[in-house]
Amino acid sequence: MTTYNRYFINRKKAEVLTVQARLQKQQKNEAELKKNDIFRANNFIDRARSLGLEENRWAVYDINIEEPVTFSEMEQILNQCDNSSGYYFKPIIFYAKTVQELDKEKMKKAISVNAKETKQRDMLLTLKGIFYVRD
Amino acid sequence: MIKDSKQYAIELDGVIYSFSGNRLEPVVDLEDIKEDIWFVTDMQEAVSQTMTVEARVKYAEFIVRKRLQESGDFDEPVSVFTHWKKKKGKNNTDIFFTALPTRLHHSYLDQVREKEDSILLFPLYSVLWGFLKRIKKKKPTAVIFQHNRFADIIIGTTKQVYYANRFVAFDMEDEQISSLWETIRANIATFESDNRIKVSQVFLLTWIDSGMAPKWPEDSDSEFYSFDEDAVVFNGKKHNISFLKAMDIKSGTGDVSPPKEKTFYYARKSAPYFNVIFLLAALLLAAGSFWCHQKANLLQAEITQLEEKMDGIQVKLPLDNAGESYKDILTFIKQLAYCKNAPSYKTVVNDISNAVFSDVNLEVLKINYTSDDVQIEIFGRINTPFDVAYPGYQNFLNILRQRGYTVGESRFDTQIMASQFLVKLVKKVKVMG
Repeated sequence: MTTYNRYFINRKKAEVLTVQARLQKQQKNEAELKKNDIFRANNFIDRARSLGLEENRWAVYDINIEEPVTFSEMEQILNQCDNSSGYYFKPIIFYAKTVQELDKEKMKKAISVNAKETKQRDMLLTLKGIFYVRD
Repeated sequence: MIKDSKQYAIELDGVIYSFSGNRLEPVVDLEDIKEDIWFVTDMQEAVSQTMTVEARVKYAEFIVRKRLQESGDFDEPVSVFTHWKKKKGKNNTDIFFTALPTRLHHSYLDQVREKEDSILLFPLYSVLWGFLKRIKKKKPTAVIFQHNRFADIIIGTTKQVYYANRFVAFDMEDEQISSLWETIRANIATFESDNRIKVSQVFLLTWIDSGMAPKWPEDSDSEFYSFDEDAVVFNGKKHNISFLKAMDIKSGTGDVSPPKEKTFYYARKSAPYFNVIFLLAALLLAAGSFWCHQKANLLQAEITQLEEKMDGIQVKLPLDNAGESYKDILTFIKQLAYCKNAPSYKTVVNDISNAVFSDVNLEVLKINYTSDDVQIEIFGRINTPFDVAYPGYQNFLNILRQRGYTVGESRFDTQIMASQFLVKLVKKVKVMG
C-alpha cells in the first residue's frame, strides 16, 4: 500500500506540475508576444512623434456654414474644403438646395432690407467640417 | 468436478463397496477409505415412496412421519428425506421421500461425523431420481435398479415422480428373480390402469450381482432399455454394470449430509483452487507493487525535471506604459487618414456634375459622411419629355456606378413632359485598419 500511495501521490503531483509548467510556458509566450507588441507600439509612437503626428501639435478649426451663396462662392468654398499640403480637411455634412426664381426674389428683398447687399443668391448651403492644420 | 477425481462408496444390501477409477472393492467400514467420499446408500431399512398428503407443502414431512407411524410401517421415530414435493390443489401436497428409523439416521450421521474425511450422503432413491431427471424424458418413464434379490423402481418424468417402490425376491434363484420381474411388470400395469398413465419406456440399471437382463414381453406397450454399461473390476474379475454410470452425479444436489459436513467437503475440494487463486493474487500484488515502485521512481524523476524546468521559466511581464499615448496617437492618425481617404465635397459634386445631363435641374444635394462611407441624396427635375428623360436618368446612374457609387434607392416620377427623381447613393471610404 505504501508503494501504491507513493505512486499515486507522485502521479497526482506530476499531473499538477505538468499543468503548471504548461501554464507557465503559455504565460511566458503571452508575455513575449505582449513585449513584442509593446516594442512595435513604441516604435510606432516614436515614428509618429518624429513626423509630428501628435494631436497637440495640430490646430483644429471647425467650420459650420449655413447660408445662401452664389455659385461662384460655392465653388470657392468647395475648393477650400479639401486637403492641401498645409492642412487636412475632414468633411462631415454638405447640404445644397437651389433657390427657385420666386424664392430668389423674396430672398433678394429680405437681404436688401437687412443689408446693402443686392447680389443674387443661387443656393442655400449648409456645410460642416474640420480643418486640421499643423502648428 | 471431474468424475475420476471422486471417491465413491456404495452401500447395497448390507455391503459397502469402495469405487474409484474403474475398481470396485468391498470394504468393512467407511473408515477404510482414506479420502472424501460421496456415499450412496440404500439405508438398509429405509422405505422410499410417493404419497399425497393433506397438508401444505411446508408441513408435508410432518404429516408423512405421522402417517408412517400410524400405519405401523415404523414402530419407532422416523426421519424423512424429501427428494421432491409439489403442491397439489389447495391444501394437498405430492411428496416423494425416503423414510428410515431415526435411530438409523443418527447412526449414519455418526459415521459421517466420526470419519476424519468428509462424506456427502446420498440416499439410493435420490440417485435414481437424479438419473430420471438427467435422461430428460417428457413421457412417464420407469427406472429399475435390480441388485441382489432387490429391485428399486421409480416412475416419473423430468419434473414429477409418480411412483416409487422396492420389490424383493425370496432368494437369488433364477425362478425367483423371474418372479420378481413378473411382479414388477404387474405393478407397472396396475400403476398404469390406476393412474391412467402409460409408461412409455423402462430403463434397467444393473449391479455386479444383477444377473441377466429379463426378457421384456414383445407385446408390451413399454419399450425396454438396458442403460449403457461400464466395465469395472471387482475381486479381480471384470463386470459390466450400468448403475455406476447412472450414478455419475454431477453436483451435490440430493445429498442429505449435515450442512457443516457439506461445507467442509466443498471447502476441502475448493482449497487447491483457492490456493492457486491466492498464489496468483499474491503474485499479482507483488508484480503490482514492483510496477508501482518503478512507476513512482519514474514519476519522481519526471517531477524533478518539471520543477527544474519551471524554475528555468522566467516570466517577466512588461509594463504597460505605452498604452494610452499609443491609443491617442493612433486615433489622431486615423482621423487624418480618414481626411485623406474620404472623397472631398468638391470630388463628389464634380462626379455628380459630370454625370448629369442637360435639361436637369438639381434642386437638392445632401452629402453625409459617416465613419466608413459617404451617403448622398440627390433630388432633381427634368424638363424634357419622358422618352428623353428616362434614358438620360439611367445613363446618369450608370456613370455614378462606374465611379464607385452604389445606388441605394432610386425614385423616378414622370408627368410625361416633365419628370422628377430622388436617388440615394453610397460610397465606401477606405478606413485605416
